[in-house]
Amino acid sequence: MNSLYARALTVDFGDRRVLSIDELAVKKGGISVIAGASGSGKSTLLRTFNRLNDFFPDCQVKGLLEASIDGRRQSVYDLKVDELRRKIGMVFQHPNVLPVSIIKNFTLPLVQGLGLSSDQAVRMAEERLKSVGLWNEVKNRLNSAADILSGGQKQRLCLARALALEPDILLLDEPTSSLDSGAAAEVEEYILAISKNVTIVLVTHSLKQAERLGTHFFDMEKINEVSK
Amino acid sequence: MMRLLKYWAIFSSLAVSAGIVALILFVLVNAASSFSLELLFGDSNPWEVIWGHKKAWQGLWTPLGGTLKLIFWASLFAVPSGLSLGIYLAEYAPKKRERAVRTILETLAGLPSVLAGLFGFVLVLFLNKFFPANTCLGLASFCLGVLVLPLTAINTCNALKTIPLEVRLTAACVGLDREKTIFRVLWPQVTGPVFSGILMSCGRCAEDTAVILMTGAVASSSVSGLLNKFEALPFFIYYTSANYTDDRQLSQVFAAAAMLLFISLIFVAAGHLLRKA
Repeated sequence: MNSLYARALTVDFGDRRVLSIDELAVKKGGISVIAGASGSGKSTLLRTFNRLNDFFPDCQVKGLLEASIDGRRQSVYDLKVDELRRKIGMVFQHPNVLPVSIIKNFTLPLVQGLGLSSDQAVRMAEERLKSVGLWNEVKNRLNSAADILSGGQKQRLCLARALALEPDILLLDEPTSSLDSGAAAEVEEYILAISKNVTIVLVTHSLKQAERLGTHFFDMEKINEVSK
Repeated sequence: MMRLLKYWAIFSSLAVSAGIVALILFVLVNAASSFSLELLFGDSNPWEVIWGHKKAWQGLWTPLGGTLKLIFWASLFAVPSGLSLGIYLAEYAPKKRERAVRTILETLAGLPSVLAGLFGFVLVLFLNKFFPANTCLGLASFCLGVLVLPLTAINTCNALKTIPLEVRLTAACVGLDREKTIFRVLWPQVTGPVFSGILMSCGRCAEDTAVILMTGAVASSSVSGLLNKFEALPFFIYYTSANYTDDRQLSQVFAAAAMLLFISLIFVAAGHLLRKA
Protein backbone atom coordinates (compact mmCIF):
# COMPACT_ATOMS: atom_id res chain seq x y z
CA MET A 1 0.00 0.00 0.00
CA ASN A 2 1.24 3.47 -0.84
CA SER A 3 1.54 6.12 1.82
CA LEU A 4 2.09 9.01 -0.57
CA TYR A 5 1.32 9.14 -4.26
CA ALA A 6 1.98 11.84 -6.86
CA ARG A 7 1.17 11.83 -10.58
CA ALA A 8 1.76 14.47 -13.25
CA LEU A 9 3.08 16.75 -10.52
CA THR A 10 4.55 20.12 -11.47
CA VAL A 11 5.70 22.92 -9.19
CA ASP A 12 6.49 26.38 -10.52
CA PHE A 13 7.86 29.42 -8.73
CA GLY A 14 6.73 32.29 -10.92
CA ASP A 15 7.92 31.44 -14.42
CA ARG A 16 10.49 28.92 -13.24
CA ARG A 17 9.58 25.25 -13.14
CA VAL A 18 11.42 23.49 -10.32
CA LEU A 19 9.64 20.16 -10.22
CA SER A 20 8.09 17.91 -12.84
CA ILE A 21 7.37 14.33 -11.77
CA ASP A 22 5.46 11.76 -13.84
CA GLU A 23 4.76 9.40 -10.99
CA LEU A 24 5.99 8.82 -7.47
CA ALA A 25 4.68 6.22 -5.02
CA VAL A 26 6.04 6.12 -1.47
CA LYS A 27 5.37 2.78 0.23
CA LYS A 28 3.83 2.57 3.68
CA GLY A 29 6.22 1.81 6.55
CA GLY A 30 9.98 2.12 6.90
CA ILE A 31 12.11 5.01 5.71
CA SER A 32 11.81 6.14 2.12
CA VAL A 33 14.86 8.15 1.20
CA ILE A 34 14.75 10.82 -1.50
CA ALA A 35 18.34 11.61 -2.39
CA GLY A 36 19.69 14.24 -4.71
CA ALA A 37 21.99 17.19 -5.07
CA SER A 38 21.28 20.59 -3.55
CA GLY A 39 18.73 22.49 -5.62
CA SER A 40 17.26 19.34 -7.19
CA GLY A 41 13.82 20.06 -5.70
CA LYS A 42 13.85 17.62 -2.77
CA SER A 43 12.53 20.06 -0.17
CA THR A 44 9.98 21.49 -2.60
CA LEU A 45 8.71 17.95 -3.22
CA LEU A 46 8.34 17.28 0.51
CA ARG A 47 6.48 20.55 0.99
CA THR A 48 3.93 19.64 -1.69
CA PHE A 49 2.67 16.73 0.43
CA ASN A 50 1.77 18.86 3.45
CA ARG A 51 0.89 21.89 1.29
CA LEU A 52 3.57 24.00 2.89
CA ASN A 53 4.31 25.53 -0.52
CA ASP A 54 1.06 27.50 0.00
CA PHE A 55 3.17 29.89 2.06
CA PHE A 56 5.04 31.04 -1.04
CA PRO A 57 2.71 33.36 -2.97
CA ASP A 58 4.31 32.79 -6.37
CA CYS A 59 4.35 28.98 -6.04
CA GLN A 60 1.94 26.98 -8.20
CA VAL A 61 1.42 23.27 -7.62
CA LYS A 62 -0.46 21.15 -10.17
CA GLY A 63 -1.12 17.43 -10.43
CA LEU A 64 -2.52 14.56 -8.41
CA LEU A 65 -1.30 14.38 -4.81
CA GLU A 66 -2.64 11.67 -2.54
CA ALA A 67 -1.83 10.46 0.96
CA SER A 68 -2.99 7.52 3.06
CA ILE A 69 -4.42 9.15 6.14
CA ASP A 70 -6.33 7.27 8.82
CA GLY A 71 -6.15 4.22 6.50
CA ARG A 72 -7.89 6.04 3.65
CA ARG A 73 -6.23 7.22 0.46
CA GLN A 74 -7.32 10.77 -0.28
CA SER A 75 -6.23 13.91 -2.07
CA VAL A 76 -4.19 16.22 0.12
CA TYR A 77 -6.58 18.98 -0.98
CA ASP A 78 -9.62 17.18 0.46
CA LEU A 79 -8.48 17.54 4.05
CA LYS A 80 -8.49 20.70 6.13
CA VAL A 81 -4.96 22.05 5.78
CA ASP A 82 -4.16 22.15 9.52
CA GLU A 83 -5.44 18.58 9.93
CA LEU A 84 -3.36 17.49 6.92
CA ARG A 85 -0.26 19.03 8.49
CA ARG A 86 -0.89 17.22 11.76
CA LYS A 87 -1.25 13.91 9.93
CA ILE A 88 1.78 14.55 7.71
CA GLY A 89 4.30 15.92 10.20
CA MET A 90 7.52 17.60 9.16
CA VAL A 91 10.94 18.25 10.63
CA PHE A 92 13.17 20.81 8.95
CA GLN A 93 16.86 20.98 8.10
CA HIS A 94 17.44 23.63 10.79
CA PRO A 95 15.88 22.67 14.11
CA ASN A 96 12.87 24.99 14.19
CA VAL A 97 11.59 25.22 17.73
CA LEU A 98 8.65 27.50 18.42
CA PRO A 99 9.84 30.66 20.24
CA VAL A 100 8.25 29.52 23.51
CA SER A 101 9.27 27.25 26.39
CA ILE A 102 10.24 23.60 25.93
CA ILE A 103 6.94 22.33 27.33
CA LYS A 104 4.89 24.88 25.39
CA ASN A 105 6.39 23.51 22.18
CA PHE A 106 4.21 20.50 22.96
CA THR A 107 1.24 21.94 24.79
CA LEU A 108 0.58 24.68 22.24
CA PRO A 109 -0.07 22.33 19.29
CA LEU A 110 -1.59 19.58 21.43
CA VAL A 111 -4.01 21.83 23.33
CA GLN A 112 -4.72 24.45 20.65
CA GLY A 113 -4.53 22.13 17.66
CA LEU A 114 -5.62 18.70 18.86
CA GLY A 115 -7.86 19.90 21.69
CA LEU A 116 -6.19 17.83 24.44
CA SER A 117 -6.32 19.00 28.03
CA SER A 118 -3.16 20.54 29.50
CA ASP A 119 -2.55 17.46 31.66
CA GLN A 120 -2.91 15.10 28.70
CA ALA A 121 -0.58 17.32 26.66
CA VAL A 122 2.09 17.33 29.38
CA ARG A 123 1.87 13.54 29.72
CA MET A 124 2.17 13.14 25.95
CA ALA A 125 5.17 15.51 25.92
CA GLU A 126 6.92 13.44 28.58
CA GLU A 127 6.26 10.23 26.68
CA ARG A 128 7.57 11.61 23.38
CA LEU A 129 10.58 13.31 24.96
CA LYS A 130 11.48 9.93 26.45
CA SER A 131 11.14 8.26 23.04
CA VAL A 132 13.86 10.53 21.62
CA GLY A 133 16.03 10.30 24.75
CA LEU A 134 15.60 13.94 25.71
CA TRP A 135 13.49 13.67 28.85
CA ASN A 136 16.36 13.33 31.34
CA GLU A 137 18.16 16.29 29.76
CA VAL A 138 15.19 18.68 29.97
CA LYS A 139 12.88 17.44 32.72
CA ASN A 140 14.15 20.03 35.21
CA ARG A 141 13.86 22.98 32.84
CA LEU A 142 10.65 22.37 30.93
CA ASN A 143 9.64 26.00 31.37
CA SER A 144 12.93 27.36 29.99
CA ALA A 145 13.01 28.79 26.47
CA ALA A 146 13.45 26.04 23.88
CA ASP A 147 16.00 28.27 22.16
CA ILE A 148 18.64 27.54 24.79
CA LEU A 149 18.92 23.85 23.81
CA SER A 150 21.83 22.67 21.68
CA GLY A 151 21.29 21.98 17.97
CA GLY A 152 21.01 18.22 18.48
CA GLN A 153 18.65 18.62 21.42
CA LYS A 154 16.47 21.04 19.45
CA GLN A 155 16.25 18.62 16.55
CA ARG A 156 15.25 15.77 18.88
CA LEU A 157 12.66 18.10 20.42
CA CYS A 158 11.30 18.78 16.93
CA LEU A 159 11.13 15.03 16.26
CA ALA A 160 9.37 14.43 19.58
CA ARG A 161 6.95 17.31 18.94
CA ALA A 162 6.10 15.96 15.49
CA LEU A 163 5.56 12.48 16.97
CA ALA A 164 3.33 13.84 19.73
CA LEU A 165 0.77 14.76 17.08
CA GLU A 166 0.63 11.07 16.12
CA PRO A 167 1.18 11.59 12.40
CA ASP A 168 0.61 8.86 9.81
CA ILE A 169 3.60 10.09 7.82
CA LEU A 170 6.66 12.05 8.91
CA LEU A 171 8.60 14.18 6.41
CA LEU A 172 12.23 14.80 7.37
CA ASP A 173 14.01 17.49 5.37
CA GLU A 174 17.75 16.82 5.78
CA PRO A 175 17.27 16.60 9.55
CA THR A 176 20.93 16.07 10.40
CA SER A 177 22.68 18.36 7.93
CA SER A 178 23.01 21.28 10.36
CA LEU A 179 24.26 19.12 13.23
CA ASP A 180 27.75 17.99 14.24
CA SER A 181 28.58 14.32 13.65
CA GLY A 182 27.84 13.25 17.26
CA ALA A 183 24.42 14.91 17.37
CA ALA A 184 23.67 13.67 13.83
CA ALA A 185 24.41 10.06 14.83
CA GLU A 186 22.13 10.42 17.84
CA VAL A 187 19.28 11.84 15.74
CA GLU A 188 19.74 9.07 13.14
CA GLU A 189 19.47 6.49 15.89
CA TYR A 190 16.11 7.90 16.99
CA ILE A 191 14.88 8.17 13.40
CA LEU A 192 15.54 4.44 13.00
CA ALA A 193 13.74 3.74 16.25
CA ILE A 194 10.60 5.72 15.42
CA SER A 195 10.42 4.35 11.86
CA LYS A 196 8.90 1.20 13.37
CA ASN A 197 5.71 3.12 14.15
CA VAL A 198 5.43 5.74 11.45
CA THR A 199 6.14 6.01 7.74
CA ILE A 200 9.12 8.29 7.23
CA VAL A 201 10.11 10.14 4.08
CA LEU A 202 13.65 11.40 4.48
CA VAL A 203 15.33 13.85 2.15
CA THR A 204 19.12 13.84 2.10
CA HIS A 205 22.04 14.72 -0.12
CA SER A 206 24.26 12.21 1.66
CA LEU A 207 24.39 8.83 -0.05
CA LYS A 208 25.97 7.29 3.05
CA GLN A 209 23.06 8.44 5.19
CA ALA A 210 20.65 7.12 2.55
CA GLU A 211 22.35 3.70 2.77
CA ARG A 212 22.38 3.72 6.56
CA LEU A 213 18.73 4.63 7.03
CA GLY A 214 16.77 3.89 3.87
CA THR A 215 14.43 1.01 3.15
CA HIS A 216 13.15 2.47 -0.14
CA PHE A 217 15.12 4.82 -2.40
CA PHE A 218 14.33 7.56 -4.90
CA ASP A 219 16.94 9.40 -6.91
CA MET A 220 15.75 12.97 -7.43
CA GLU A 221 17.76 13.28 -10.64
CA LYS A 222 15.79 10.38 -12.09
CA ILE A 223 12.29 11.26 -10.92
CA ASN A 224 12.41 15.02 -11.48
CA GLU A 225 12.27 15.80 -15.22
CA VAL A 226 13.66 19.29 -14.50
CA SER A 227 16.84 17.85 -12.94
CA LYS A 228 17.56 15.41 -15.79
CA MET B 1 38.27 64.90 7.96
CA MET B 2 37.02 61.79 9.80
CA ARG B 3 38.41 63.17 13.07
CA LEU B 4 36.61 66.47 12.48
CA LEU B 5 33.35 64.59 11.85
CA LYS B 6 33.86 62.58 15.03
CA TYR B 7 34.38 65.72 17.13
CA TRP B 8 31.38 67.35 15.48
CA ALA B 9 29.23 64.32 16.32
CA ILE B 10 30.41 64.37 19.96
CA PHE B 11 29.81 68.12 20.19
CA SER B 12 26.32 67.80 18.65
CA SER B 13 25.24 65.02 20.99
CA LEU B 14 26.56 66.90 24.03
CA ALA B 15 24.93 70.16 22.88
CA VAL B 16 21.55 68.50 22.32
CA SER B 17 21.67 66.65 25.66
CA ALA B 18 22.77 69.81 27.49
CA GLY B 19 20.05 71.83 25.76
CA ILE B 20 17.34 69.36 26.81
CA VAL B 21 18.61 69.18 30.40
CA ALA B 22 18.82 73.00 30.56
CA LEU B 23 15.27 73.32 29.22
CA ILE B 24 13.87 70.84 31.77
CA LEU B 25 15.77 72.55 34.59
CA PHE B 26 14.53 75.97 33.42
CA VAL B 27 10.91 74.73 33.48
CA LEU B 28 11.33 73.07 36.89
CA VAL B 29 13.08 76.07 38.51
CA ASN B 30 10.40 78.47 37.27
CA ALA B 31 7.63 76.09 38.32
CA ALA B 32 9.14 75.40 41.76
CA SER B 33 7.41 78.30 43.50
CA SER B 34 3.99 76.98 42.38
CA PHE B 35 4.35 73.37 43.53
CA SER B 36 1.72 73.03 46.23
CA LEU B 37 -1.76 71.58 46.67
CA GLU B 38 -3.10 74.98 45.63
CA LEU B 39 -1.51 74.48 42.21
CA LEU B 40 -3.83 71.53 41.61
CA PHE B 41 -6.97 72.50 43.50
CA GLY B 42 -6.88 76.30 43.85
CA ASP B 43 -8.80 77.32 46.98
CA SER B 44 -11.14 74.28 46.82
CA ASN B 45 -11.00 71.43 49.29
CA PRO B 46 -8.82 68.75 47.61
CA TRP B 47 -10.89 65.80 48.92
CA GLU B 48 -14.14 67.32 47.73
CA VAL B 49 -12.61 67.83 44.29
CA ILE B 50 -11.05 64.35 44.14
CA TRP B 51 -14.37 62.69 45.09
CA GLY B 52 -16.17 64.80 42.51
CA HIS B 53 -18.38 66.68 44.98
CA LYS B 54 -17.04 70.02 43.87
CA LYS B 55 -15.28 71.42 40.81
CA ALA B 56 -11.90 73.11 41.14
CA TRP B 57 -12.37 76.38 39.30
CA GLN B 58 -8.74 77.29 39.79
CA GLY B 59 -5.70 75.06 39.68
CA LEU B 60 -4.58 72.38 37.27
CA TRP B 61 -6.74 69.49 38.48
CA THR B 62 -9.41 69.97 35.79
CA PRO B 63 -6.97 70.45 32.85
CA LEU B 64 -4.96 67.47 34.11
CA GLY B 65 -8.12 65.33 34.20
CA GLY B 66 -9.08 66.61 30.74
CA THR B 67 -5.68 65.62 29.36
CA LEU B 68 -5.92 62.12 30.84
CA LYS B 69 -9.48 61.72 29.50
CA LEU B 70 -8.25 62.87 26.10
CA ILE B 71 -5.49 60.22 26.14
CA PHE B 72 -7.97 57.56 27.26
CA TRP B 73 -10.63 58.23 24.63
CA ALA B 74 -8.10 58.75 21.82
CA SER B 75 -6.41 55.44 22.72
CA LEU B 76 -9.75 53.67 22.99
CA PHE B 77 -10.50 54.64 19.42
CA ALA B 78 -7.02 54.37 17.91
CA VAL B 79 -5.42 51.37 19.62
CA PRO B 80 -7.91 48.57 18.81
CA SER B 81 -8.36 49.83 15.24
CA GLY B 82 -4.61 50.37 14.77
CA LEU B 83 -3.75 46.92 16.11
CA SER B 84 -6.38 45.22 13.95
CA LEU B 85 -5.25 47.11 10.88
CA GLY B 86 -1.59 46.29 11.58
CA ILE B 87 -2.38 42.58 11.97
CA TYR B 88 -4.50 42.62 8.82
CA LEU B 89 -1.74 44.28 6.79
CA ALA B 90 0.99 41.95 8.03
CA GLU B 91 -0.90 38.67 7.93
CA TYR B 92 -3.90 38.84 5.61
CA ALA B 93 -3.67 41.66 3.07
CA PRO B 94 -2.53 40.89 -0.47
CA LYS B 95 0.81 42.56 -1.31
CA LYS B 96 -0.69 45.31 -3.51
CA ARG B 97 -3.34 46.27 -0.96
CA GLU B 98 -0.76 46.27 1.81
CA ARG B 99 1.46 48.66 -0.14
CA ALA B 100 -1.45 51.00 -0.94
CA VAL B 101 -2.74 51.11 2.65
CA ARG B 102 0.78 51.55 4.03
CA THR B 103 1.33 54.55 1.77
CA ILE B 104 -1.88 56.12 3.07
CA LEU B 105 -0.94 55.36 6.68
CA GLU B 106 2.57 56.75 6.27
CA THR B 107 1.12 59.94 4.79
CA LEU B 108 -1.35 60.17 7.67
CA ALA B 109 1.43 59.58 10.22
CA GLY B 110 3.41 62.49 8.79
CA LEU B 111 0.39 64.79 8.76
CA PRO B 112 0.91 68.08 10.67
CA SER B 113 -1.40 67.86 13.69
CA VAL B 114 -3.07 71.16 12.85
CA LEU B 115 -4.49 69.44 9.77
CA ALA B 116 -6.05 66.75 11.96
CA GLY B 117 -7.60 69.57 13.98
CA LEU B 118 -8.85 71.23 10.82
CA PHE B 119 -10.31 67.91 9.73
CA GLY B 120 -12.24 67.73 13.01
CA PHE B 121 -13.44 71.31 12.64
CA VAL B 122 -14.64 70.69 9.07
CA LEU B 123 -16.31 67.48 10.24
CA VAL B 124 -18.33 69.45 12.78
CA LEU B 125 -19.35 71.98 10.10
CA PHE B 126 -20.46 69.10 7.88
CA LEU B 127 -22.37 67.32 10.67
CA ASN B 128 -24.08 70.59 11.55
CA LYS B 129 -25.99 70.33 8.29
CA PHE B 130 -27.83 67.29 9.65
CA PHE B 131 -28.06 67.90 13.42
CA PRO B 132 -26.68 70.34 15.97
CA ALA B 133 -23.01 69.35 16.47
CA ASN B 134 -20.22 71.15 18.23
CA THR B 135 -16.57 70.75 19.04
CA CYS B 136 -16.12 68.59 22.15
CA LEU B 137 -13.91 66.12 24.02
CA GLY B 138 -15.17 63.23 21.83
CA LEU B 139 -14.25 65.05 18.62
CA ALA B 140 -10.82 66.08 19.95
CA SER B 141 -10.13 62.49 21.06
CA PHE B 142 -11.20 61.18 17.66
CA CYS B 143 -8.89 63.64 15.85
CA LEU B 144 -5.96 62.77 18.13
CA GLY B 145 -6.80 59.11 17.52
CA VAL B 146 -6.48 59.75 13.79
CA LEU B 147 -2.86 60.75 14.49
CA VAL B 148 -2.15 57.76 16.75
CA LEU B 149 -3.87 55.10 14.61
CA PRO B 150 -1.39 55.08 11.69
CA LEU B 151 1.60 54.89 14.05
CA THR B 152 0.02 51.95 15.88
CA ALA B 153 -0.89 50.16 12.66
CA ILE B 154 2.53 50.64 11.02
CA ASN B 155 4.33 49.66 14.22
CA THR B 156 2.23 46.48 14.62
CA CYS B 157 2.65 45.53 10.97
CA ASN B 158 6.43 46.09 11.06
CA ALA B 159 6.81 44.11 14.28
CA LEU B 160 4.92 41.10 12.87
CA LYS B 161 6.88 41.27 9.62
CA THR B 162 10.18 40.96 11.45
CA ILE B 163 9.25 37.45 12.61
CA PRO B 164 11.00 35.00 10.27
CA LEU B 165 8.96 32.85 7.87
CA GLU B 166 10.41 29.76 9.60
CA VAL B 167 8.30 30.47 12.70
CA ARG B 168 5.14 30.54 10.58
CA LEU B 169 6.17 27.35 8.76
CA THR B 170 6.92 25.61 12.05
CA ALA B 171 3.57 26.62 13.54
CA ALA B 172 1.82 25.39 10.39
CA CYS B 173 3.70 22.09 10.54
CA VAL B 174 2.42 21.39 14.04
CA GLY B 175 -1.13 21.86 12.81
CA LEU B 176 -1.85 25.36 14.09
CA ASP B 177 -4.21 27.25 11.82
CA ARG B 178 -3.57 30.83 10.76
CA GLU B 179 -5.48 32.48 13.62
CA LYS B 180 -3.82 30.33 16.28
CA THR B 181 -0.44 30.95 14.70
CA ILE B 182 -1.02 34.70 14.79
CA PHE B 183 -2.50 34.99 18.26
CA ARG B 184 -0.71 32.16 20.10
CA VAL B 185 2.73 32.17 18.48
CA LEU B 186 3.42 35.45 16.66
CA TRP B 187 1.52 37.95 18.80
CA PRO B 188 3.31 37.11 22.10
CA GLN B 189 6.59 37.78 20.28
CA VAL B 190 5.66 41.34 19.39
CA THR B 191 3.56 42.60 22.32
CA GLY B 192 6.57 44.37 23.90
CA PRO B 193 7.55 46.50 20.89
CA VAL B 194 3.93 47.07 19.83
CA PHE B 195 2.75 48.32 23.22
CA SER B 196 5.86 50.40 23.76
CA GLY B 197 5.03 52.12 20.44
CA ILE B 198 1.46 52.67 21.61
CA LEU B 199 2.59 54.20 24.89
CA MET B 200 4.96 56.55 23.10
CA SER B 201 2.13 57.63 20.76
CA CYS B 202 -0.06 58.27 23.84
CA GLY B 203 2.64 60.66 25.03
CA ARG B 204 2.05 62.58 21.81
CA CYS B 205 -1.69 62.71 22.57
CA ALA B 206 -0.93 64.36 25.88
CA GLU B 207 1.09 67.21 24.44
CA ASP B 208 -0.65 68.03 21.16
CA THR B 209 -2.11 71.52 21.23
CA ALA B 210 -2.95 72.21 17.60
CA VAL B 211 -5.62 69.50 17.42
CA ILE B 212 -7.45 70.36 20.62
CA LEU B 213 -7.24 74.08 19.89
CA MET B 214 -9.63 73.58 16.98
CA THR B 215 -11.76 70.78 18.35
CA GLY B 216 -13.10 71.78 21.73
CA ALA B 217 -10.48 72.81 24.29
CA VAL B 218 -11.46 75.86 26.35
CA ALA B 219 -9.88 77.83 29.17
CA SER B 220 -12.68 76.98 31.57
CA SER B 221 -15.55 74.54 31.27
CA SER B 222 -18.35 74.07 33.74
CA VAL B 223 -19.42 70.55 32.74
CA SER B 224 -17.46 67.46 31.82
CA GLY B 225 -18.48 64.79 29.34
CA LEU B 226 -17.62 63.34 25.99
CA LEU B 227 -19.93 65.77 24.19
CA ASN B 228 -18.81 68.85 26.11
CA LYS B 229 -15.94 71.25 25.73
CA PHE B 230 -13.04 70.44 27.99
CA GLU B 231 -9.92 71.76 29.67
CA ALA B 232 -6.48 70.32 28.95
CA LEU B 233 -2.94 71.07 30.05
CA PRO B 234 -1.52 72.05 26.61
CA PHE B 235 -4.37 74.50 26.09
CA PHE B 236 -3.91 75.88 29.61
CA ILE B 237 -0.22 76.51 28.82
CA TYR B 238 -1.04 78.10 25.47
CA TYR B 239 -3.85 80.27 26.80
CA THR B 240 -2.35 81.36 30.12
CA SER B 241 1.09 82.13 28.70
CA ALA B 242 -0.58 84.44 26.18
CA ASN B 243 -2.76 86.18 28.77
CA TYR B 244 -0.93 86.06 32.13
CA THR B 245 -1.16 89.09 34.34
CA ASP B 246 1.24 88.26 37.19
CA ASP B 247 4.25 86.13 38.08
CA ARG B 248 2.02 83.63 39.91
CA GLN B 249 0.15 82.79 36.71
CA LEU B 250 3.39 82.52 34.76
CA SER B 251 4.75 80.16 37.37
CA GLN B 252 1.56 78.07 36.98
CA VAL B 253 2.27 77.84 33.25
CA PHE B 254 5.69 76.39 34.01
CA ALA B 255 4.15 74.03 36.54
CA ALA B 256 1.62 72.85 33.92
CA ALA B 257 4.50 72.37 31.46
CA ALA B 258 6.38 70.33 34.06
CA MET B 259 3.29 68.23 34.64
CA LEU B 260 2.86 67.63 30.93
CA LEU B 261 6.53 66.73 30.65
CA PHE B 262 6.07 64.28 33.51
CA ILE B 263 3.04 62.61 31.86
CA SER B 264 4.89 62.26 28.54
CA LEU B 265 7.94 60.97 30.37
CA ILE B 266 5.87 58.30 32.15
CA PHE B 267 4.53 57.04 28.81
CA VAL B 268 7.95 57.05 27.15
CA ALA B 269 9.58 55.32 30.15
CA ALA B 270 6.80 52.72 30.29
CA GLY B 271 7.26 52.15 26.58
CA HIS B 272 11.01 51.61 26.98
CA LEU B 273 10.48 49.27 29.93
CA LEU B 274 8.00 47.20 27.92
CA ARG B 275 10.42 47.03 24.98
CA LYS B 276 13.17 45.81 27.31
CA ALA B 277 10.89 43.27 28.97
